[in-house]
Amino acid sequence: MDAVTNLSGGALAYASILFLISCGLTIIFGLLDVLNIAHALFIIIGAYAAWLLMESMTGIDDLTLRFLVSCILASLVSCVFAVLMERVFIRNIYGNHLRQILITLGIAIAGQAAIGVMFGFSPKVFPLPTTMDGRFDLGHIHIGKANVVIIGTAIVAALLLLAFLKYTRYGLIIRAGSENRPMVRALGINVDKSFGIVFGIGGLYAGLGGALSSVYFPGITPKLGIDLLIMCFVVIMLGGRGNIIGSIVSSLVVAMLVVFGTYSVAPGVGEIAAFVLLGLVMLRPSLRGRAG
Amino acid sequence: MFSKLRLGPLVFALAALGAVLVPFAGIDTYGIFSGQLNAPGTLNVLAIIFVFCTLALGYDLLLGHLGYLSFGFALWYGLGMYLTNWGMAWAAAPYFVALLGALLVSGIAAVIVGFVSFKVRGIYFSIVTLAFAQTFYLFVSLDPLHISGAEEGLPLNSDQVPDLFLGVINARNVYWLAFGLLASVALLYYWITRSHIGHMWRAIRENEDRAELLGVNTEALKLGAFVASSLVAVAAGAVAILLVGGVSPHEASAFFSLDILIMVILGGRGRLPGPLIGGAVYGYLRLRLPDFAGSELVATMPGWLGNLFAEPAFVLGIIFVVVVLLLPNGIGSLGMKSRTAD
Repeated sequence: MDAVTNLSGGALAYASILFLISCGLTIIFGLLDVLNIAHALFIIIGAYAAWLLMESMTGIDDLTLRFLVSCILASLVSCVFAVLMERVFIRNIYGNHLRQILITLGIAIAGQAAIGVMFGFSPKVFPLPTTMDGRFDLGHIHIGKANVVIIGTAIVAALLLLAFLKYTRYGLIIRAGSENRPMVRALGINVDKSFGIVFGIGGLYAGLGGALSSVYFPGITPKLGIDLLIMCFVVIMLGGRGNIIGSIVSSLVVAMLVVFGTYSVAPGVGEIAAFVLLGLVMLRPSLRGRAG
Repeated sequence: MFSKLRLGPLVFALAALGAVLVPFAGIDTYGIFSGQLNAPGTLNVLAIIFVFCTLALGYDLLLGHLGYLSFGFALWYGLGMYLTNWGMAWAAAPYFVALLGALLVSGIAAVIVGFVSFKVRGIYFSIVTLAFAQTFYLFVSLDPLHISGAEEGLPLNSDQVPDLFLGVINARNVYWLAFGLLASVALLYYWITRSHIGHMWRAIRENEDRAELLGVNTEALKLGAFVASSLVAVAAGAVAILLVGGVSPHEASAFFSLDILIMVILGGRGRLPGPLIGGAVYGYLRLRLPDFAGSELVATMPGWLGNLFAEPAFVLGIIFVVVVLLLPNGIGSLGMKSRTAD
């Protein structure tokens, strides 16, 4: 039983990272019908920017503060990149989903290679502040301090995103656009304007997820982006397109499967179980929702 | 237009004749390849390019004609490699018998995978195929049963390979084998895409519901395209193990699946020249660019820039974005009359 509770901390942290990446992915997918493969690049931009800032901002002596600043700046870097990418590339090819997906694929491949050339393909280990090292002990339950930080960040981020979607005008347009874009257009609202915002959110959250995954995983490599993205594809397919609550739930399910499968059977079993679950959901139209 | 149609087969026949004669041509390649045109190293690079072209042709049946985007096509290439090698190791089967076995097993697998994947359309199909391929990739790269050599992969089980295909001296035989496969697949592609079946595949691509309503057996046609394209990739994988001397999980990874997609889009989908051009461009850049890292042109650039342009994935990614933006029908459409982008 102890093992289960202790693993849960890791599983929750992994679910948090999956959620941070998937929420932007699923909004972009819901609104534009584009599976944004460049999300893999947002992730590693966040991760490597955080690593670089952590190494280079020696002016800030307090490591905890430096970590905080690094994570925030890294997410912003990724956010700016995402907005620019949407402006320069995606916007030029409206209405052609395959070409938009292909563009994001090309950017992801070139960007990943560029990061690999700049930083090397071997794992970079993130210097963890001592305040985040170690774990909290609550009786029999142990949970890593870093994991608590990751989980807490994800909860705050999720609440902010839900509030944005629920209470702002742009949030309303995004929600309505995911439901029925032609109808929103017909009502005279320019949905296309919100595309930049959607990509900005995607870049911000995926960059944050990437920065935090450099704490969660033992080291970061350029491959990390695609590896995480594949699991996030499963998350958004299970959660339903454009569905934030759905992706919270499916992040938890996928993370539990992966962490407990790895622990109790063998590495890779958990991932395969998640793929099998996806296959079963796709086979049962009643479970599939609006999957097509 | 008519003159083009007449010229096409002639151009292909001449190119094929030229390709067959390459091993006899001791011509200097002026740095395009690392040695003379018929040097074993050059023949090996050319043969791997042929394998990529074969793979791209197979994938194009699915993408260009049926209109289904798979993210897991490397599964079949990887299966061709691993199954053939396992067949030779475990059943002590001669190479060609192991190849037939691999085709048989993969054919059955393709029916099952295709059946499940075609339950959904569009991008959902892409993700389900990705999940299948990733399952196989995790199986061979994590190697729980200690049969696939994990990340390292396995060396070619050369005991069962005919001597004719082994060693540097016989590079030309493997070259001809790879070319033979490419030529047969190209002819098959040409024939099937012009047949009744090809027309119905494109009817499904244009509007699946309409095709179904008109009485086309879409289920069987889709599954047929899926199995045919998968078997082409299995055969390509089986030939590839002779060329690279072993199997590695990278060839079954999501990265390679996306690379196959890149090949087809680069060249242009839906027409015979497209996948051939795309496979050639991709293969040449992937295999030769790292060699240019030490060249004079690169040496004149600042260090990081030179490294960047010697990295095949970077150059391919940039070329790919440019092609998708400016040439939606691929490089192969350059010489053709403009067709509207879809």
